Amino acid sequence: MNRDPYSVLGVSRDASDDEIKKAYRSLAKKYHPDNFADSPLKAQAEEKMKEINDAYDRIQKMKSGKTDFGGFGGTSGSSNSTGIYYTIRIHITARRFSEADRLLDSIPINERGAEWHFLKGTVYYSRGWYFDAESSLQTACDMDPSNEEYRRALDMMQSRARSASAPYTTANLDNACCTCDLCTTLMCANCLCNCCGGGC
Amino acid sequence: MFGFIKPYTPELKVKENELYGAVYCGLCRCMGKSTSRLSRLALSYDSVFLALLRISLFEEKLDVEKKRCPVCFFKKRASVMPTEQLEYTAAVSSYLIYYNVLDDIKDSKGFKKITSYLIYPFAKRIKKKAKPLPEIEKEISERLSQIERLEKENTPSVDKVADVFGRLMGKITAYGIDDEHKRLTAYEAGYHTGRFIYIADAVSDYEKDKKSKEYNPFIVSNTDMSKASERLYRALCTESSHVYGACALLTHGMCGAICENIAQLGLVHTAKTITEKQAHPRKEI
Repeated sequence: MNRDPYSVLGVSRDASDDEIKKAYRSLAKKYHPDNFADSPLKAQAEEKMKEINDAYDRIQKMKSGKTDFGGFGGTSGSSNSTGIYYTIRIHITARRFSEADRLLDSIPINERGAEWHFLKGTVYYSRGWYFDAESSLQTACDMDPSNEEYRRALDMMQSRARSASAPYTTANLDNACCTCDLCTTLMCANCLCNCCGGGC
Repeated sequence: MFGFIKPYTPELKVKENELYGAVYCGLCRCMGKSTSRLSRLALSYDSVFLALLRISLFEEKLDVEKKRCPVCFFKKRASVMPTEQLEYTAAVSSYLIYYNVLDDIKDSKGFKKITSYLIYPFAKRIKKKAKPLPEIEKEISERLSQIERLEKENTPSVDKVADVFGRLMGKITAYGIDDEHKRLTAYEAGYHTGRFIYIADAVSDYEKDKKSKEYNPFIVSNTDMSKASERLYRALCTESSHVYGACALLTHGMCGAICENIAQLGLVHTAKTITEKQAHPRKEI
């Protein structure tokens, strides 16, 4: 099941790095496939181990600030994913974007709701098609304004673009004060000094 | 489709600005000498960026001389002496001109078609004189044909078509680099530069294409340009951030500093200028 990574590891959202590492190690020790080497439960243990590893990776990526649309946060959107959308999310988490895209395109146009547009936006983003990605994410947010997952993804995308333009914006603010302003200010200061009778 | 990749001069050091000018002049001379005098007319700022990237990547040492400019004859200008990467850039530019002219002959109408026919013999001569680069020539021909096909099919997604031009520029930028990491990073720099050029071109040509009924992805997709301008700005800035990241990893020295200025500031400045025009189009009185 595509669960919230924090609940997979059994930690709270504001857990520290150490707490997360400790929880991961404890679960890894418990479910390591070597412990089930000769057991009929080996396959289940491997699946559980994969879920734990994925959850840990996603938390690390989210904490390092990388945009990981595979990290579907614990919202009603993701836990209600069923059928084809669930499969698409699995493909996206595993970075099989072409496969995810193929499945998305197979859904008839009249059945494409907010979740479709969100997942399509994720696929576009993975390809670096940023204009289409933002358009799709915006459509998803417009169709389902209360969905935190979609809003967070859109915000992350827009904030990346804002960071990209920040050095230019800063440079322009620095260049806003020109020497004419400086001269005018000095002249005024000089006049004031003379008015007060001082000889500065 | 040229002239979007420029430095943001207020933030360039004086010596960097002078070197940029010297590389521009050096490339112009190289194009005149190794391709054809006519190809000088097609020199663009975008080619200078490619030259700077390649010079920095291959760690070429630049020698500068003062030469009389054939255009502004009375002025002696600092000009970089020919290097292998300047000659490579000159050759690539001439192939791009030739295949672009071929496409225009096939696809355009009216006045543009006539001018393309007139330019064609010169473009052919430029290509003939260029340094032979069969792999690059094949890539240019195939990718431009692919773009032509997508445009003929009225593709609504600017990203889809920009992707093809990006792949072409990626291959051109990464050509001949043996080191795998450097090659991948150079490809990234070229890929996102190519995407930036295509998208910026589509944005700035929107009004013109609407009047002349030429293909433009924003016309096909019925995009409201004044409402989409901020989204376009963000998309272009994100492309520029990838170019900057690649430049920061790859380049060094003064050429590298100019490339970083272009990527981090120049591209963003271009993005702001062209998208602001769409947000506030001038109304005809």
